Amino acid sequence: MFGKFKIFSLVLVIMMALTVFAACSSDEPTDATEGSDSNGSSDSNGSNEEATSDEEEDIVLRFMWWGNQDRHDRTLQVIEMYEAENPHVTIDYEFLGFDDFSERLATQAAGGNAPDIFQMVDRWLPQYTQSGLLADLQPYIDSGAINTDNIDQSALDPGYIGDQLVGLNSGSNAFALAFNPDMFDEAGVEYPQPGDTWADYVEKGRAVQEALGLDYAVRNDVQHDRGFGIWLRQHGYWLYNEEGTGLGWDDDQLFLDYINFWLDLEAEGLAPPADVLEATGSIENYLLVTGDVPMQIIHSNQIVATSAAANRNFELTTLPFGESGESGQYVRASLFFSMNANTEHPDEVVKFMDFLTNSIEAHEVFQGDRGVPISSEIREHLYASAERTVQQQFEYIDLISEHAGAAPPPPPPTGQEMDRFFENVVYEVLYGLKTPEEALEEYKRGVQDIIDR
Amino acid sequence: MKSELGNPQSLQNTFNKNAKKRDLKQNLVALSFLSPWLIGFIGFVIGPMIYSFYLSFTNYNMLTAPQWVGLDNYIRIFTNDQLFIQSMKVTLIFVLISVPLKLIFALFVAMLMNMGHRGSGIYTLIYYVPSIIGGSVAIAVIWRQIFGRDGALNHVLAWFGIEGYNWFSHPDYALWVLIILVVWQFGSPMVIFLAGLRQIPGELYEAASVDGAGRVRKFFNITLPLLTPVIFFNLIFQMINGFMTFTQAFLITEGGPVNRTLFYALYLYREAFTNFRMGYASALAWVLLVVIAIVTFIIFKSSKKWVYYESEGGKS
Repeated sequence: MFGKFKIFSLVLVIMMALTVFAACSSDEPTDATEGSDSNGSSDSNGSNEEATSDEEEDIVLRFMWWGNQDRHDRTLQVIEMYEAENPHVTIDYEFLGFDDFSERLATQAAGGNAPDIFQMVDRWLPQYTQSGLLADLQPYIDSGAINTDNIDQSALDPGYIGDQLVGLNSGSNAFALAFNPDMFDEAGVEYPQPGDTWADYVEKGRAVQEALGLDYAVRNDVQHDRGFGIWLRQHGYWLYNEEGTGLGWDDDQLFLDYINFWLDLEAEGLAPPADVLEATGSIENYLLVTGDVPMQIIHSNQIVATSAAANRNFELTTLPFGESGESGQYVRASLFFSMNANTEHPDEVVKFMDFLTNSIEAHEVFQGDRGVPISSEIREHLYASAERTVQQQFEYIDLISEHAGAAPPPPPPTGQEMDRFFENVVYEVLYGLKTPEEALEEYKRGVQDIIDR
Repeated sequence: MKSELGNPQSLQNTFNKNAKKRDLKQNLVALSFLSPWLIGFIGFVIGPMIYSFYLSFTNYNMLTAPQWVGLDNYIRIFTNDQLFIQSMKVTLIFVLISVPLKLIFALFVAMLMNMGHRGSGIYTLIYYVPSIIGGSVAIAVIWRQIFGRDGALNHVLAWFGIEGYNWFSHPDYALWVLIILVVWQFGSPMVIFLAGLRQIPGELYEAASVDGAGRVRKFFNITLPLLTPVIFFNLIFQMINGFMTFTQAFLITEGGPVNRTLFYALYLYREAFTNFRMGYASALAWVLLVVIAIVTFIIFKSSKKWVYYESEGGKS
């Protein structure tokens, strides 16, 4: 009796235990794939190719990126192409939104199981380099494993920390003013153009608004780097000092002028109130897309998504210049690819990176989604056949290069927190909860506090 | 000592030994039955808790090894952290408003369901659905649509000539949008109330009717007192849930506008995973634990005054 009962209970316990573990692992598919990865057995989990090659050992590379659905689709297509060309390689991929990505990567890095290759932004590079997660790609550039014959050194520069190349620029990108040419034509107003000042910007917007009865003339672009940062650069300063240890400006009037400029526009009905502003932050809701303003400041690579969302064409030009004629603008790397320093297959990762950078077929799929390609050969090849929005990006990077200054030093690692903090402070003013003077004090105190932590 | 046959002492001993053996065996069986839960509890709850307690005394950015900083994190929380004050304020207001509203609403619907109309089972099911899907991205999108600038709510308001806002991006209203969303997810307290209502003996109502009590009187003198244990349970449960609210703010308002919906859990999450201050976030988590413990303790203490148990012989 008791024996039977014991066996019965044992079976029950085992079954329950298994359910628990099954539930755990099905919750987190990544854990399962990591398990198979570290065991070295490649074809158990997550492999979508029956890879058999006599000469080369089958391997799995883990690739993680952030982006929207469009980027995911394009990247998956490129991965399939690469796997077809390299049957012994299986790319195990994970794609997420930006916030989830930052969380996932940090957690995986802490747990020692970061992917082999992943996307990076500039502000993360110093910290991740310091912790030893990012491999130095310079040796592979020197050996030619990553072909740089058609790549200008200046395009690689943003990826260096010290003399280590820790991030491979995925493509160039810059802030741009997108405008709706039809609205300007209909209103009979001259298009915005390089050299316009902020006053011209407002006047042209007002003219279109009045002629067409639009809701607003301009969108108050109160972001930290592309708003206040550009404003500062037009006055010869930058948000932070060279070392990133404090503010890069000390004239309070700069901040007050900036805020008051937008406050006045809002009071005159030229710019939207804060609650509208707050709710129109994603591309589908951009006021430019919904047709409520004739122009809006965006990232140049967003022209693709913006045009798609509005189902119409826009034109790109530079942001308004400062009164002194200073453009304040610069070309940036839209993002980087980095290699895990602890990867088991560095040569295979580098080969894949080279493919992402130099393969014409891959870029025919990407269509400039991660910025204007850094390889001149690909730019030339792509330009002729590319969609209009992609050509516009290419043209814009050429245009802005004529007016751009040197890029500012990389932001401190807490850059994202700063950006959020700045927007919060400015919105408090726009919502009428604080005066510009109060906001100034809070901003100065808060930025220093965040840096010093 | 020499043992003799029939010595009661030794018999007692062997009996004790056997009993102990049997106890051990039974305990082992019990433990092995519990083991799936126990292993999970120790590995996934107790272990991480101890580790986070340690981390709360460190600076830890997840990339380099934790640095011991003593009480610095806690000192900063209580002396120099505006976001802590803001997020605690938002969370307390949220809990104070949403929990009572949700319970009242759940009780109201549960009483409707309990009137014994045909098909009330179906309705129970339908009303329970929001609780299941409430935290999903789809609901967040729908909510943004309803309360957006061109949303359904503003269209309705426009019929009455009222011009609406983007409700979830207006500092005065954003929190209310989330409160309405949470109150709408009244399914689980409703089901528990329903069970509680069905426990109340029908004779009491009959007797009250004979004595001439009206509906309102019956509700306040019979239903409510007899339901207090269930109310108590729901209150504790919803209060704890309220303090840990995260998804709604994360998906719909992202803590904005100007931190008016920065729930404590969202602030904690940001410190940990956007700002990479795992040590500080751990300290925040422990502060939250203590706050919830204190509030729970107060409710438990007060329950002696207002929760009525039949088994206690009717002293209330």
